[in-house]
Amino acid sequence: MQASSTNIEVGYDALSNGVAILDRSHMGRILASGSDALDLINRFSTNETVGLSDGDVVVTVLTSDIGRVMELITIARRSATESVIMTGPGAENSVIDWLNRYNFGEDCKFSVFTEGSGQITISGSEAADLGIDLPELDHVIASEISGMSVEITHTPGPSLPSYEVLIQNADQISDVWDALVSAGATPASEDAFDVLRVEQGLPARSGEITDDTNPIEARLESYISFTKGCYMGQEVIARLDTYDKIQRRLVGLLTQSGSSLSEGTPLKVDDREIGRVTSVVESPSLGGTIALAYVRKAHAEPGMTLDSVHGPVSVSELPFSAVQAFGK
Amino acid sequence: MVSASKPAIPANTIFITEKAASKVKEYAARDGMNQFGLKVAVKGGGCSGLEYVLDIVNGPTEDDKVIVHHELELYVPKLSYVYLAGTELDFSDGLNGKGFIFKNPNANRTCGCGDSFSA
Repeated sequence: MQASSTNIEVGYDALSNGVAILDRSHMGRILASGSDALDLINRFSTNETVGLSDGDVVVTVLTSDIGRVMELITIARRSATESVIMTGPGAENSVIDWLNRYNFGEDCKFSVFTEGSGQITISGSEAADLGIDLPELDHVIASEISGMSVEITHTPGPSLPSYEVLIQNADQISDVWDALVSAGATPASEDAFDVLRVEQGLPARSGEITDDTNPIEARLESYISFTKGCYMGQEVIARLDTYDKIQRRLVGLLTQSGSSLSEGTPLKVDDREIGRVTSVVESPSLGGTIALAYVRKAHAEPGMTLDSVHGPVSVSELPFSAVQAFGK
Repeated sequence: MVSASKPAIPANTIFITEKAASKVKEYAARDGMNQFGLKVAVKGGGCSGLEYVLDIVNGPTEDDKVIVHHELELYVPKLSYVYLAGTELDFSDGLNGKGFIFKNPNANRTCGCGDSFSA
């Protein structure tokens, strides 16, 4: 793992005003081969993974038969018979086991290549200044960094441009890293990236995305096709959407000055628990503590005040806005 | 009153009703097929994880179990047979008919349209 600055503000500043990098080689990577691989995934996830062209990237959610999130995955199609699947840390084998369970002799094979390869995230408004070929949004290209062959995906997510550099040979991770630093990228910590994530209201596997979560309450609607037809869990998700039946919703929270809110803090209304905090960060640009939380739908409207043992908090729109946040 | 209950489908076979078999033969004749059978299989998909596959084909593959009912050969891949043993395949016609209907004793959950199940 390449070293990053532990100073959150340095990394945050690079993300906001420059370009930052983070070694994410611990994320899972799977090679999907065979002409039926994307069709099989299409039948078990929320977004459309068939009808893609070579070089397309799509994010989709593998769901259980009751519409719960199994894993959030990113697919980069290399060709009609080969794609790369990016998963969360350590999720590769469970994703493969899940898909193979429903493979009745179709032309598809999945193999893990996390070990022996690497992954570096590039993010920030000035990413184009690094002087490397970068793909358009939702695309993957073969590129070079200081003469080393890499693949780069441009994935949807934060409003800032965000790229994943896939390095086939793990021995070249440090060389690619050094080349990016030489080109002007600032090594940033996971914590700095996390501040930006919470500001943008994006759910993470560490707190918001669990096997007890459905994709709508986690605000993953942009990764759901409501017109693609059947996939496992689709009936449940369609019903939640059509009849607005979700029980809880991911919301932003603004806290009082000096609040010591933490992950897991219960949120109450009239002494009744109506939700829990999932992520807490100090936001340099907003000048205070902000959080993400799941709260019951009736209490998820922006402006509502909720109680916690650390004082009152107010529900915010997501993504957070600097103007509304702390009255700047 | 004596109820004329229908005999149970043996758990070690797959049964097709005369009406469904007749419909398959009708479709095959329309396509000009003389030698044919009905492939009955499952694949991963649908709302519940497994979905039925029906296809009129020229003959079985090496992997298929061959079952004959109402002078129609059913070709069932061995992997699919595990999920289909004891199933009755029927046909519902008319304006509100559902077409081919699977009555599968292995299905512990079926989706609303009836085309998908979990086992």
